[in-house]
Amino acid sequence: MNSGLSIVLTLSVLLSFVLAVARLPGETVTGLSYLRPQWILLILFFYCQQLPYRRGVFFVLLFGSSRHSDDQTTYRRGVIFIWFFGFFADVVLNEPFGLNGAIFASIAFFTWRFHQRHQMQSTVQQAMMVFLIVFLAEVFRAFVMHFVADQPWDILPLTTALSSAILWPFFSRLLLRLIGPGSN
Amino acid sequence: MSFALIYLDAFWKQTRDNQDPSLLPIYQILKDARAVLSTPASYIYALAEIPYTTSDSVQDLAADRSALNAENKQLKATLLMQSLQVQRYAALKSENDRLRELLGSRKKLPGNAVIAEIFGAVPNPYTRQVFIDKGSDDGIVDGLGVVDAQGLFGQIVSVGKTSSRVLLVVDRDHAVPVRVNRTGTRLIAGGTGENTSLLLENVPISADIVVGDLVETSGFGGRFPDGYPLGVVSAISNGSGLTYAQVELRPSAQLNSSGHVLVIMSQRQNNNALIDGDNQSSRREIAAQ
Repeated sequence: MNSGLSIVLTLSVLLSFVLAVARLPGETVTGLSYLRPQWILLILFFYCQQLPYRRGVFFVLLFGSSRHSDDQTTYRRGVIFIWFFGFFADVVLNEPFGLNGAIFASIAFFTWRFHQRHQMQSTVQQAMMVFLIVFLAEVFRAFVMHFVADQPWDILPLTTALSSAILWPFFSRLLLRLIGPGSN
Repeated sequence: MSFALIYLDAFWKQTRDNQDPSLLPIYQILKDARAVLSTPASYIYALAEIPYTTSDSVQDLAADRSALNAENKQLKATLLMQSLQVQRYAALKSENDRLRELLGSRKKLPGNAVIAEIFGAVPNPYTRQVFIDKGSDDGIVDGLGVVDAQGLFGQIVSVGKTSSRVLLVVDRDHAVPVRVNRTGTRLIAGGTGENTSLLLENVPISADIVVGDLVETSGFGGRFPDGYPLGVVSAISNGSGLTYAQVELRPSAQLNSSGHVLVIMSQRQNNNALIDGDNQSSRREIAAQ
């Protein structure tokens, strides 16, 4: 992996976390937070889809090592690492340990398993896939948070999935331009 | 694995009767891991605040001299007035302590406080929490009360090395023992999830409460210091058919606009004796004590 790509990867992951917690002006939390796209899931889905041959993509983020192998060990390590990486998201988003790990690892597994099919899909089909993935992830999150923190059920999974899907075509085009040709 | 962790991290403290002591070290590891990770997490929040801090700096640079002079004069006048009050407060506090000693009471007015800056809010529409820039390095521990210039702001629920998380008084999971200033009636005030209102819980229909009454902390339970204003009664509904009167408060603290808060430090000894927790059940139990 070239250093330019590593920088884009690192910065985009960092930016996704910043955007995930950024507050809107005026109030601490406003009604517009219902339309906040799931930036972290979008970035995870994008890199798992676009860089499938680097299954230890987050190893690369941390250690700068290049992994070109396609073997099952690297594959498993990638999923396990992403599961651990979810701990950091748990702390950032103030959620119980293990919740984001389960979501991230499931998305990474699913995306890597079907990455060739995803890459052949049109942008609209990909956006629909993003909607489905984010919606299921958010329903799972809402389900857990309902039991853990007595969080009420409402339309948040639907609205975030919708805004994420609408954003996806622009988001993926921008990132594809940034990581440059020949990366997939 | 994930479900086991979620259970341990979130439910373990709530099911105190069925706790397996062998799981305690694992729970402690999770708690320590959260404290360690909260430091890098606080940098994420600090980065997210850059647009606001930059715009404040630009506004400061662009402020014109005469406006600054006027503001300076006004602040000096306010400072003078408040120093007079502080002098009076110091005298009253020592007098109060002496009288309490004479009465054999162990309770003292709170002394130390640490000033902290708010640098981020938890981006979840269901919870009302903010981050402050003081952590265990500054002596902050779980459960300390937090106030702003106008009244009770919240309590510390999670402590990192250099930052802490504050649960606001209006959070749905927050409850605080209070007293109506005019009559001395003791009640529990719970959050509603809205930044502009609190509810008094289980108020008898016949209770002597009117719109405009000041409600302050009672100090029961030891978590919050005594006598800090929590809010003013803004609406009362005690029509027929209701078991309890519904009393709404408007919070005194500037929950939306406060930039700085004070963490009341002297409650630490009390809190160590209390149940350590940041979940709903333990807070409610503490509030009910």
